[in-house]
Amino acid sequence: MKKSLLKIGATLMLGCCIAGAAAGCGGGSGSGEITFYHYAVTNALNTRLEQKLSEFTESTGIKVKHVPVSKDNYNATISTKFTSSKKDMDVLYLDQPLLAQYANSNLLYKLDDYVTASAEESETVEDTNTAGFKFNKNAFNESAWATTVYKNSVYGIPLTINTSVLFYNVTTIKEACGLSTDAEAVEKVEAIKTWDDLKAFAATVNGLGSKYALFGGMGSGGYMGWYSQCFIGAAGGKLYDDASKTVLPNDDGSVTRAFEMMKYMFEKSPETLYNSTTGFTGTTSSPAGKVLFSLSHSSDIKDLDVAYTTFGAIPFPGETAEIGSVSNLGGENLVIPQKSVNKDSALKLIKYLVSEDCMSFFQSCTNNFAAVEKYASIDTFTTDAASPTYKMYSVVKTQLSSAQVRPVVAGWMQVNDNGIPTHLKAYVEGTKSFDDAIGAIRKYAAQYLK
Amino acid sequence: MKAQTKQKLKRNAVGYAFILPLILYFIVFQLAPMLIALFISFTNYSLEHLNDYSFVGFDNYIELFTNSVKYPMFWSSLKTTFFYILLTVPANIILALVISALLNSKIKGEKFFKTIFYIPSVTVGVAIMVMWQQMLAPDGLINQLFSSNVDFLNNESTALSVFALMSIWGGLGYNVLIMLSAMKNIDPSLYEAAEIDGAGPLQKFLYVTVPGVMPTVFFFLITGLIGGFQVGEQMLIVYGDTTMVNSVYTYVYGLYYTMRRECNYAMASAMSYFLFVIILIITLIQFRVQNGRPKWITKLIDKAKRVKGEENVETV
Repeated sequence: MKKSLLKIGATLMLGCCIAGAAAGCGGGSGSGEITFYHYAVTNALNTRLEQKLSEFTESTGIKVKHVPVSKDNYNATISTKFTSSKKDMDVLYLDQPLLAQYANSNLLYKLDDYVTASAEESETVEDTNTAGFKFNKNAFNESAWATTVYKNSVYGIPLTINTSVLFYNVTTIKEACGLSTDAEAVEKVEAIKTWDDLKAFAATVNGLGSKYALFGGMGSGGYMGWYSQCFIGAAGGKLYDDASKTVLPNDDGSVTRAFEMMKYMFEKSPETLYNSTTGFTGTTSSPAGKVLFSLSHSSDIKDLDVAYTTFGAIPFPGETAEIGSVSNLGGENLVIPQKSVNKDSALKLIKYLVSEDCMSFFQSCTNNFAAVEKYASIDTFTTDAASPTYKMYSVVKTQLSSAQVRPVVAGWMQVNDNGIPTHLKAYVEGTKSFDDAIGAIRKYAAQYLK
Repeated sequence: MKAQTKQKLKRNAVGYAFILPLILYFIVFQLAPMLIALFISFTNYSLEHLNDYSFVGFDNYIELFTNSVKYPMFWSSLKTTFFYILLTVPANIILALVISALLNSKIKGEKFFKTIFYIPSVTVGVAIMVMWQQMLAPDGLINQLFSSNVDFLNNESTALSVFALMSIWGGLGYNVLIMLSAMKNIDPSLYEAAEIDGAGPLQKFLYVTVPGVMPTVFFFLITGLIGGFQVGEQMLIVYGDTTMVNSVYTYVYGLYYTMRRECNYAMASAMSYFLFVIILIITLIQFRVQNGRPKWITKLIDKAKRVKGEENVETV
């Protein structure tokens, strides 16, 4: 009896050990199979993606295992995968600001040998004039391409892009400015081209600051850092000067003016009002006040496509007409990890993913625009050219042409997530002077930038 | 003698074989990661140094404690965590005590109330968070009830209290159930002794019930403190990776950011071990305090023993 118990115990042990070993020792992808990490999508879109990947397998013989990861958890999952000795990552989405961080750590495969700049075939991704397959950088949005270049080397291929614009609620504008028709409200808002225009508009709002908030804030953390670029860019400044290694260079006073404008916007938008999302969309009978503008990006248009009221969008106004409208740039790139053992196959997959058909699919998934200019099409979102939705996407698409790239510097993510928002928030709330805020941001950046 | 030892060993071997999976699990999935994390905390292992990390001694710990520019939220996050513990642990214990005492006083529908209180404990945490988020939104139920307009979760002065409230509400059912079973285990003769001494309901509660459930209170104190120090998950659900209200930037939230967003694994490990040391010290202090039982409790127990003895004599 005891012997048989021992035998059972020993068998169980052995079984556990073998199962454990089998689970823990799995190597990279099997031969001929590559792994593609991407944001999780809806079931319907996932089915479409699987169809596309099957087509790729049929035409190339390369099997693709795709791993959807929820967007909220994506970056954390990817960073953990990089620390693993497994070689099961071949192609992955990568949030733009993370590229420098990973490239600096030598974790990404350099794509310099697969890139060309063909003027003749500027509208094609594949440069047909060069022997072998190469990505034609001229086919991509210029700013999007810049997000892939770290220390003069290319580490990724842009997939999708977005930018921020000012959305407005037609019904609220009409009500706040005492206008009688939607058309008047639209006309009044669309006349805003500069910061002075915006201030003049604000002066005509009845109950601004008590009943109405000028805008819905800039979020906090990473979003606040990202949105601040709109103001700084629109004042003619930039976040980082690579030559002098200065964060928020302010020789021309552009950063001062941008900070002042942000403070003005917040002063006209009491927290109790701007914190309310529904205050902008007006979809529920909220006791909160109403919000006139929302500084947001193309991904949000889908949420604004509601029957309750009508929305519109204008490009983010420049400080002056001379500077014009400037905004920020966000989106994802496709990269190949250095540790991939299937780099050739991975390159073929990327080539396939930036084809017109696939780009249209990724537009649907992300509500962002394709990074290949030729394929960036509003028709993916709506074909009704007269609809407000179409017009909003159209404004975003136009704004993309003047979207500024975040500094592609290792450590910028921390500056964006913590350095800028923490001290900018203190400045707009009046607890820190401009000089103190800028000083603190630079001091923080000095700790992180590499 | 030898045969006996051999037999004993053989008998023990069966026992060990059965607990071996657990021991293996403990070594592989708990002890080893803990030791690896301790080792990592003394290196510069991060995304930047995945393959060329080196031993840096106590540098990470020193930087954590002294570099307020790079880690501006370190001390304040610790303060926030302490404050959260102060809000939740005493409230958890007091509420569990009071509600359990009420349920223990043979009220009608005890089972019904127990079920009601226990429902949050069997509900998925994320669902609870989402429900509270909706209720506390500026256009949520609470604001509509009071015709107010407070964005509780994004307001620096209300956010932490709201998280504390959610935690208390979520854990109440479990606490009440444990506390109630502890109360039911109190020797009834202690109440009789107190009654003979002329104690009223409040005095019986204070001098019999409370001391009787002291081990359970101690258990809540320990687990509450440990859980309190580890709070951060709820904030991650509500605010995501980076969007944060400073007043709810807890220690573990900062640790999560350092680990998953900055990918500074060495620093995150150092933060984990610092937290481990804090919890260890506080737990040791608690054990020390608990070991010294107040004299009045001993007196009451002695008296109860005497009463019990007298009753037995009368019965005999």
